[in-house]
Amino acid sequence: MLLFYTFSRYLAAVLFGLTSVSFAIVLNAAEALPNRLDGIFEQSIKPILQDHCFGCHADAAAEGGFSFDSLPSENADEDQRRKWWTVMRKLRAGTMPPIDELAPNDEQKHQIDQWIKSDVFLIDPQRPDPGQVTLRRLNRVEYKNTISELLGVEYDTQANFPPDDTGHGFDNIGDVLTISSLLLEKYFDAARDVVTRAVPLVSGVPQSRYLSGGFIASGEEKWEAKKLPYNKPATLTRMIDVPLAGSYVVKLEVNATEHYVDDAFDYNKCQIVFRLDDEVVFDREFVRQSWTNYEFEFAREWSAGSHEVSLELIPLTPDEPSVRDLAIEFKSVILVGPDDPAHFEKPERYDRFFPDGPPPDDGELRRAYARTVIERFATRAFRRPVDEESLSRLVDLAVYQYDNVGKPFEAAVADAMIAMLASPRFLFREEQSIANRGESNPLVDEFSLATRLSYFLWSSPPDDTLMELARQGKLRDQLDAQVDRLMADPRSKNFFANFVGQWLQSRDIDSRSSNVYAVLDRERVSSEREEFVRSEYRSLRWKDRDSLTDDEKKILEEGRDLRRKFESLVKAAEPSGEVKRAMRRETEMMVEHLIRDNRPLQELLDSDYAFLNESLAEYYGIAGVEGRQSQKVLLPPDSVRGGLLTQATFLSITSNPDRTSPVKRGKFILENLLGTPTAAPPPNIPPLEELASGPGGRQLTLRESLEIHRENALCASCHNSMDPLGLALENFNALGLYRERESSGPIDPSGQLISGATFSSVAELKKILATKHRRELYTCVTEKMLTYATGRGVDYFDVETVDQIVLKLEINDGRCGDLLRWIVQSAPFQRTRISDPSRL
Amino acid sequence: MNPRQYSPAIGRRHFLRGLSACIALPAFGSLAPRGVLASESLQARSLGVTATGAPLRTAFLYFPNGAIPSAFWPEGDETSFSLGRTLSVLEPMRDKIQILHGLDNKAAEAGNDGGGDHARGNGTFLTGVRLNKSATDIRNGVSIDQEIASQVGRLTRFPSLELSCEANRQTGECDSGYSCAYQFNLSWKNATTPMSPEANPRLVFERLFGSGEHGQRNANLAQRRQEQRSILDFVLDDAKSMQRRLARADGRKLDQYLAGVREIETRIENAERFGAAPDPNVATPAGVPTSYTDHVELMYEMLALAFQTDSTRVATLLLAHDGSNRSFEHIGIVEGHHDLSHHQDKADRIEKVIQIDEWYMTRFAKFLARLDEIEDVDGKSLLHNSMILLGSGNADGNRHSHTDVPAILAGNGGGSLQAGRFTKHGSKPLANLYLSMAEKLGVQGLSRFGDSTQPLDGV
Repeated sequence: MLLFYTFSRYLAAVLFGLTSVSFAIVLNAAEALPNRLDGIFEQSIKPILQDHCFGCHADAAAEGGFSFDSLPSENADEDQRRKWWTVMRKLRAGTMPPIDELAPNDEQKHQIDQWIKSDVFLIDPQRPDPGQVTLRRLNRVEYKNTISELLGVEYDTQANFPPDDTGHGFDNIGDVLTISSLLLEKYFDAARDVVTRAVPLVSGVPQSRYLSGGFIASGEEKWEAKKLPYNKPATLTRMIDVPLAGSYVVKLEVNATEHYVDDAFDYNKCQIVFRLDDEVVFDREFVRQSWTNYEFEFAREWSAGSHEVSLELIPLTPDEPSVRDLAIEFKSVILVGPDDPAHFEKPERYDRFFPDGPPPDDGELRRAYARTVIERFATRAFRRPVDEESLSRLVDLAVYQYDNVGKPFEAAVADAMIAMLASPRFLFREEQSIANRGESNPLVDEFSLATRLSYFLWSSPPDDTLMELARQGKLRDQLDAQVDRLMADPRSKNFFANFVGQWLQSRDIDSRSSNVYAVLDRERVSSEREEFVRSEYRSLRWKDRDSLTDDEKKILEEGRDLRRKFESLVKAAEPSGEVKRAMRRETEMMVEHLIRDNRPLQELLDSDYAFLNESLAEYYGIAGVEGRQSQKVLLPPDSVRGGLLTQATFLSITSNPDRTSPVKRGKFILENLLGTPTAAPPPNIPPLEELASGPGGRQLTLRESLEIHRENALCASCHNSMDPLGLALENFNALGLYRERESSGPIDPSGQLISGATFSSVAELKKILATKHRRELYTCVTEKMLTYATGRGVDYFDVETVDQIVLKLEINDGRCGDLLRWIVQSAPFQRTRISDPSRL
Repeated sequence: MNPRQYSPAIGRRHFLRGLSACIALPAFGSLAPRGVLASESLQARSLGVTATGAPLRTAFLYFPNGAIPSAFWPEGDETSFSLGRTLSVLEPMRDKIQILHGLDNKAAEAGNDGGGDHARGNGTFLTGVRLNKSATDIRNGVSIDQEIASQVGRLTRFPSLELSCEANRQTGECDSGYSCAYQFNLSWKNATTPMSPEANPRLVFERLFGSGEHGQRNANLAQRRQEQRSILDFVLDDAKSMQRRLARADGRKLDQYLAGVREIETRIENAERFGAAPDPNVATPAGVPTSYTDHVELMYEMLALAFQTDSTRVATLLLAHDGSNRSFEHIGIVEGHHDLSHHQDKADRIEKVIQIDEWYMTRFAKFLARLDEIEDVDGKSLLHNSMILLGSGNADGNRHSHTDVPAILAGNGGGSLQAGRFTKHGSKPLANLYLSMAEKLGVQGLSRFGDSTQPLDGV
């Protein structure tokens, strides 16, 4: 009976949208649940809504296109629930009712909140609906990491695969990770490529001996380095001891190098002669070859005993100046052989794939060995034990290749591996649940859990430990310890790079290009004389110098000076590749620090430290930081830095190439830090900042033009919440550099938030956000992380899961050291909805 | 490696030099339709061919953010008109193009969906159906190139070719709650499966002609097919058994996978039917050029090469996604294209947008000139035997309007198009044009497409 009870309640939850008479019994069952607040809507909820909301949103009034008239208080369908969810979010964020209307008190808000959760969403706090994740394909990052773990080779997915589509700001969302025929073709090719690179395709290869040392140099000068300059004669010789007579291949590896010098050419030439036992096997002229690698091979039949190898460099241009230090880098001589299977050695990485050595000759044993090797690989490739049927098909495939096609055993097994890497079971993360427990939202099985865990925290497949725990069914018991272990592993850097990189968009800084001239030009403050000089200079510079008056010559000089000064400013403000990488690290390390060191999340917004290396500190104008490594730096008390809002990643990715965008900055804060995004702009509305020019054609400050546009009530409804946030950050230009004024005048960062709080500087704004808006931050971070962890967008039924985690954060004053663990323990991470509701 | 010697720009120039050499090769001409016409002409005599039996190609090219209308549209009547500033670079091609005014892309209008005109303009351009506004629940329609490819595609090694010059994506959300998939894919296999385009010229080339150097490519292609075939059976069975285990939404993902497998199968069969692939005597292009100009020109070259070798007759090319905020510093424009397109009627901003529009037209004109140089099997030019549509899903980027969208149809369609005209259609669905194009390609049974009402008259 209990079983039916739970299930019928589940049915009720998913079927309210399709309400019809035949479901009456089910609905009654659901209504009888003790935690439902029967009849409470008419008694308690409706009166509050009447007082505070219905004025604009009911009785045919539908401000902003929203009305309660068509929103049922019970039996709401999915779309209607999402509307209630919007109501809930607006009330929580305080964006509704508007500031000039009377808002419900906290108690009333809480009542509405609880009622929506229990009566509209039918949430059971003990058993929140875990939702369902659409089958996830490995994205480009995960694919690359998976191949690297599985085979030990790197595959450049960035260059070879099309970019993954993103949803909800992340590239690991099941719904949008589509697979086109082009991509599938690429998966086929990639599988072949990586397997043939990683897996030995034969049992033995002739032995290789590297003979890089032991050469005796003779010539005009003593030869010490391995580099032979084109202009100095040199001869290197050494004896090789060949123990067995037979066929050998001698490989010569050289590299033609130079020291690059701009706009200069080096005409030196030399001749290289390579001898084996006094026989010239190679004789060739080298001119400038600019870092080209050469490998030459010579086959010899050699008797046992000593053989001489010599390399001679003969300069051909003794009088030519050496401009680029042309040289032949002598890398190695490799002796390969003898070509006799009796003396073969195992190829590289042989044991990794074929741990029991070469295959037995006996047909049955050979097949059994193929099976062992394939099963081992399949378990890791499919991230769960492979079923008997698939296994025999894979073994058949390999046997066919070595029996019928005549491939070596290893190559045949490699073919089966290629098939596995092209299989949907490798490319998709298929999940299974622990079935037959009579639960509507069962736990996912331990292999699925292991996979969820490792891709969440590592963007990589489960390692042997996770797989073994899953096999023994002990992973859930040791979950906390495993989360700790995974986070202590170097692979956890992937979590910070991929989660933070996308959530806070720090990934984008690499490809960001700003127009430094344009940015700094907006800040140029000139005296009248300078203005005059600049405008004169533009025409004078093209004139014949001899025709200029002394005055004009002076202006020309001054103009040159001004230009030089500005150009050096531009040069200093242009972030180098190293500085950009440090910027990215700054943002990622900040979040990493909060989590690893169990710091309060609100420090993300307001902190007295930053993560800098020498170059970035210099860029920011902070003294005393040394070294290339980014490190935690305690900021001086009067520093303008501290917290995400003053980091160059955030500041520049939310800017246009040529100037800041307060609207984009405000929007970013609302969407990614406070979790209260504004509605999308109505169609055909241009960006506000662009509209006006001031009286007399004077260029308005961004603040002024934004003010003009907020006079429009429709615009104001959203921009009142975005613009003050962005304008407070105007002290930082589009590159993230601090400034006190623009050409148009001093910068005024003061403002008032939609909640009414006022501030006079970015420091005060940070304080307000970090104290009064903590809860929003906690909720936002939790939702973003849940999205990334589960690969689906947060939905109305996740409200309880999120609230429970936020409550824990609040109790811990925001300390987030356990946040990942709470996400991992949550229902959406642990469980799955048993079936597709639309199928019922 | 010395960065100078391997700079992409030089690599590209090498490639282009090589390309003009390969055009002289007579082998390409005779290669193309041989055998094809004989075996494939059962149902519709004219499917995918011109009246002379030469291949008839079609391509759909997309540039972002509309164009400044006053500079874009010609003045005058159908046959006696003067090109505006934006199109003046097409003057030498004027007898080979028609400029179509009065075509609307109503599916991209806001309706009840609010903001997102760039996602809509881009996503609906070739489908003509409304998009589902969602970041994850992607629903569009099949695009016209795929509709055409489903019939014409059987005639060539590749049913269709999808190209893009967008090699990177920004992180974060896309346009106003629409999935990024709408903005970065022109071509849609069906409502939920975009045809992801290739942005790397090297990979386009290798896919068409094989990897490696000239002379080895055919052998490499054949080996690749052999390798693909060896695993097809296994993965097909695997996908089917997996599909049985999955819920419906997941099953859709497997459908995509299975469709991909079937396409590879077809490709292998086709390759055997068509015999050896052409092997252009040029070096394989290096990767994605750093300069956008080089990238766009190289993708146009890939398209020309694909048509010239009759590797496919249907193609799409996304020059940049709608809403693209690329700055054009190489022509002195530092602001982003999208930001500029909201010009507020300021003359300096309008001027810059016109310069960007002209830049796109200049690349297009070069491409057309290239096609016009190449002689096809019937002695006409490749351009003569093509229908190349260049357009944008937004008309006026400033207002986000979707009526009178820019549309230039180049080529003579093998004689079936009346080029050299400026036609005014007075508010007809853009999809009507697609119907006409499909009709001229001999596509059967397509009486409606997207929001079409009837085939467009007088094309």
